[in-house]
Amino acid sequence: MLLIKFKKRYPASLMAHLDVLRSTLRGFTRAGIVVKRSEGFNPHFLVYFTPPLPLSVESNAEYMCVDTEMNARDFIKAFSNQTVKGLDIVSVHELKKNPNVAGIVTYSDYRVYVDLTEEQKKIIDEVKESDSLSIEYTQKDKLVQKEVRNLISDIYYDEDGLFLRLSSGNNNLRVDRLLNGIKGLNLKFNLYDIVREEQYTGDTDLIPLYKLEEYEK
Amino acid sequence: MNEKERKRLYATVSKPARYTGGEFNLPDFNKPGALRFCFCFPDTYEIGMSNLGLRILYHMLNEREDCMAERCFMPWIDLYEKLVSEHLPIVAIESGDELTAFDVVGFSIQYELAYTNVVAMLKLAGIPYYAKDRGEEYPLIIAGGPCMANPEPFADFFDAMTVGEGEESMMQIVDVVKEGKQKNWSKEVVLDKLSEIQGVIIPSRDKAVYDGDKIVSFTRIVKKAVVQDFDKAYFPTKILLPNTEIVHDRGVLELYRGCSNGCRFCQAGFYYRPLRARNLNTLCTFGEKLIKDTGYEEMSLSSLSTGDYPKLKELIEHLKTAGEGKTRLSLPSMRVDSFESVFAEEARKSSLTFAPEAGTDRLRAVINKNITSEDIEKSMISAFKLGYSSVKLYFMIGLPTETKEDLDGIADIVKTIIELYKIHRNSGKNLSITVSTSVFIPKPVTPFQWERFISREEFEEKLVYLREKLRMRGVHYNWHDYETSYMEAVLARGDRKLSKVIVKAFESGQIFDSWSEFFHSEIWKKSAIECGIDLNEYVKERDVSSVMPFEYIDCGILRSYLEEERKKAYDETTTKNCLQGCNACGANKLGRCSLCC
Ligand code: SF4
Repeated sequence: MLLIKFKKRYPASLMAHLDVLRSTLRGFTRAGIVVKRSEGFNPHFLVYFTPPLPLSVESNAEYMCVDTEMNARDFIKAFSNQTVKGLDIVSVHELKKNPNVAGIVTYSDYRVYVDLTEEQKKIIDEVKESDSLSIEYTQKDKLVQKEVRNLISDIYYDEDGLFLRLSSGNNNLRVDRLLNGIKGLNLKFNLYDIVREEQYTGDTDLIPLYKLEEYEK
Repeated sequence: MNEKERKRLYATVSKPARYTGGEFNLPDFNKPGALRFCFCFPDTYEIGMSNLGLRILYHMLNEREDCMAERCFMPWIDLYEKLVSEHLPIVAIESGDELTAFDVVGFSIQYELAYTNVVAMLKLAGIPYYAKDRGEEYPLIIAGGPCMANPEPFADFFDAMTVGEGEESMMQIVDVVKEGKQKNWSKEVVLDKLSEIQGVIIPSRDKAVYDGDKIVSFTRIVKKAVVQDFDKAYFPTKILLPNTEIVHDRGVLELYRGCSNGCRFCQAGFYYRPLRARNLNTLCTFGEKLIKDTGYEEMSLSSLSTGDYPKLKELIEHLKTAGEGKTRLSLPSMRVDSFESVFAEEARKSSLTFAPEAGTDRLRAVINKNITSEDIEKSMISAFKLGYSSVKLYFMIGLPTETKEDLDGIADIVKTIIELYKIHRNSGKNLSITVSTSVFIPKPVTPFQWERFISREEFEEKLVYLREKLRMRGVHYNWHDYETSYMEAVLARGDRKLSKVIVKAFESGQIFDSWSEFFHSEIWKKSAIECGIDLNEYVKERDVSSVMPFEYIDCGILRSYLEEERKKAYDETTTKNCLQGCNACGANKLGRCSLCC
């Protein structure tokens, strides 16, 4: 089982998840990488991804697990020039068993490349200090109100813009939803200003997914 | 347009991956000083990227050291509206450059209902529609593609057009333009040189001579370009892999060009003659390389009538073992009995597709579609035994000499299939039959090119009748609507007067005609009236003695052959398949028919 960390930057950031999967599988075929298939009536390739990002959001830390006998070195050699523009392998790790990446992700780091006004900085500081934050958003044409402070592990700004560590996976908080939902913030940003920087597992001691290998040992 | 601007534009439109580029197998664009060519496809990325002709020419030009070819597709409505409202130009996918930055802009025109999109793309590019209004500062704007069987309705938009197979003419066109650029030739001199290339039409010079309303002659006869040695013809295997799903997202192997059947309504069947096949070995090599270079899991064997390829069995056996046996093959349904192994895998997933085109053996003799009821039954039995439970049938209505009995015949075929399923079924599912009808459209370069297009009243009558007849359990009936077919019929045999109607229709808001949800017949009708043109004149039966506007193009097929075939149609006499012997249609004067002569 190989765990692959990869980037998804423009133009690949505008590829839908299914298209990334299709393109990856074709890359495996070209590279001669044999991936195991599921049993049963409609066998599919045993490739697993972390939860997909909204279209346009970029990432330096996407993950997929590939069930193959190939070792990491050979994989990199065979596959690194088989990806489309914007999808780039960062590192490949050998694991003993399937970690179920989609299920174990708990937090993600994001950068939002925006200029903040003093007013906005103040609001961010307030969010950081407070222990409750209620946001409003529309989901399936319905207005939803939600308490989300417990889903924000960290939030701050620096010269590059905003940094956020948000709950991810089963209890996902979308960056755009959060930023648009904070009352009075009025932050103008585009989805492509957001970059996912890392994904973690664990609750208090967070382990970046690329370190799962060590953790397994 | 730089990357930042494009990112902003594409972030909020549907399926943005169709505009961003960055596909796998992109050619090398680092060729300073190379001639710049932009292929324009007047329909969506998903349709254009599925087009084999575009695939071939794009890679062929990019393999030249002195040429860089890029792509530009018609933006879908959401992006189109954004570009219009923000006064932004369309740009080529690869570089993001405007079309005016190129040396040559080449439109690939595949169907009549794309003509308003051609105008829309020129408008978005800031290029005047009519060739006569464009000075030296504009790129050379050219066109090619199947619609060149009659390019007259759009001829005035182009500086030059290429009729026939682009592999032949395109390389020579690039040579001329390149030389012209080096030697600073004026556009007129470039056109002089281009007119010497076989298959190149210069619309400002090559035209009909009229006496009143009648065409009496042409200034020149232009011969279609034909690939002489098709086996050696360029065929790319390292092809672009789209980053979003397209209509035909699979490898395509082209087995042969032309068609030996001679169905009398079918333009492609005549237009692409002479018949030229690739050798089995060549195809096996291309097939293997295609899988290796793309990773495609599916491959279709494409030709106008793939089932007629003499070595089909050997080819399939070879390809099934290529790509570690993972490659799925799509094959024409007629051959179910010969290729059970291929079809067995598909039986659960897909439906069996058949195009009898007409309901009775009599009408099939008229149109020379040599499928008998018995052939259909035999294939159905084999398919049902393999586990198929879904059938799609295609027919045409409004064919010459059609009567109620022929429509009854469609229902009879359906009934027979239902009965056969009861006896031979090997699936737990209920049988599902989809019947689709299109309206017969008389097309140039066919024995039916003089026929009329049926009236709206006749169409309605036939439709009501068929709907009633096909009211059976498990049977769905879809029909192609009348109005879009009517416009297609008008344009198919149209003349140069129609160019102003096309422009008017576009300016009145008409684009994407081939998408029924965007087609507005009232816009076309109003535009025609404003231009003083009666569209009904174009769909009438034509007198065989009159000269039609496209007859200055020599596709090889003899006019006398077409006339003879038309007579045979009315006598309900068939013409044999060319594989059983040459019928002397004339096409082999442009190149040898390697399958049969
Ligand atoms: S020249 Fe003969 S063999 Fe060739 S397409 Fe015409 S009829 Fe068929």
